[in-house]
Amino acid sequence: METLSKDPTTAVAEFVRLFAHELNNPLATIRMSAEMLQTGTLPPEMQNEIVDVVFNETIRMEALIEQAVYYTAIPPANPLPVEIGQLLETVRDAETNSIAEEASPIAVEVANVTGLEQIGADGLQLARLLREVLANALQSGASRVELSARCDNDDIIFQVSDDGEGISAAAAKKIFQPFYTTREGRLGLGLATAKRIAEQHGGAIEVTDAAPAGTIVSIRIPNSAR
Amino acid sequence: MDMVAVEKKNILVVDDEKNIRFTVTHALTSDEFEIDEASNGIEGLKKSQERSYDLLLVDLRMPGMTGIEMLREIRRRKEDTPPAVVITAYGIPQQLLEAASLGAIDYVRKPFSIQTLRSIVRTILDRINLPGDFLPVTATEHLEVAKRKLMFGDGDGAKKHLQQAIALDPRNGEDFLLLGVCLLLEENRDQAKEAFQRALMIDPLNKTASEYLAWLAA
Repeated sequence: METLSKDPTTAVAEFVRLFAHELNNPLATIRMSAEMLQTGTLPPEMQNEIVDVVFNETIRMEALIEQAVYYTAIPPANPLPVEIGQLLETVRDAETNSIAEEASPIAVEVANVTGLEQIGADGLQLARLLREVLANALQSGASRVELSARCDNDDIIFQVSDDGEGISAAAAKKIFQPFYTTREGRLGLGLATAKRIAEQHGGAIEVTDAAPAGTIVSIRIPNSAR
Repeated sequence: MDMVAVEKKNILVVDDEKNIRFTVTHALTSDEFEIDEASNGIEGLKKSQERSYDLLLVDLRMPGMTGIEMLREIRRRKEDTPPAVVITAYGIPQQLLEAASLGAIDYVRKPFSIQTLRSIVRTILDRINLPGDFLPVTATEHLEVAKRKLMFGDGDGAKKHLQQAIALDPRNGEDFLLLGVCLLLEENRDQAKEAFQRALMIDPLNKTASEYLAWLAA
């Protein structure tokens, strides 16, 4: 929803303000929950429900903090040989497992059509980048998502395409900005993080609307092993 | 003695945070209040068209349609708009001012206590129920009438009551804060600045006055 200033001092202040905003949401829930528990008059089932809410909100705060810390201090890329097929499958498994409880089944297909087995890149960072993009696709109302890799001269193009709700031209302009989100309870740092990682590898990321349905996110990563 | 059933007040909570809705609903549900929920501005707008609410509790920052956009749309479509309390995780003067221009002059900052929330809800409902011919006598009563006037878009009327409240008790920072808001709404930035400064002189911890001043200085 907001763009950070180019002036570093202002950007830090804005980042802290927006992050504080996101932390204040779970904090508000925890505070009210504690007050309700303090009364000691709640029926046991309600008490258990409120304890669950507190527990989930603390987990959420941990995740928010992890995301913010990671975004502000992504370490320099450490390129090593990365197995492309393995990378795509690991990313798919990690993300689909994390949403298994809340979403209806979404078919996530993996295709390595690079003709290569390996690329030179920071595998951890690349996995993080792809997970952020895939997580976004899985929340788009899609029934099918494809995660693929292909070659374009010396670069590898990773693509995450879905048949979900698509993206408007206005949203496409903002989607990689920190704290931009259209989803309930999200921090809006995932795709901003993906962009940073792509750029840190000398690459780029872009999103296109795949009318009549869906979105394609393309990530260009130079193969540093060549 | 016959028992008279007290009609429950209907409150709509509009917040994209599921757990905020859950806790606010449980914190307010009582013999006095009946709570309905909406998870975004569009749903809030739809519900407020379908049913009449006594009060809206509205988060400002929501994906899709923001709280301000929702309030503006409700006001555009309906003459008789319910009062609204803005819920905000971070006070941004521009947004608070925009909310005030739509009649939402009360707000709670996240994280807030249940007691604060209940108290603000009761205060607003009492304010709305003030008889039309109510004649304020004390400074506190003038402040409440000023707030009521502002809620219904009568900035001039609000200012007059605030000036009377200040004349009766010049040590209440809230009077100056609200006067500053009234002045800002009529784009009188210099006098608004003075009012916020007075509010801060009386109460150096007045966060909102300090945020308005910083915003005016920027």
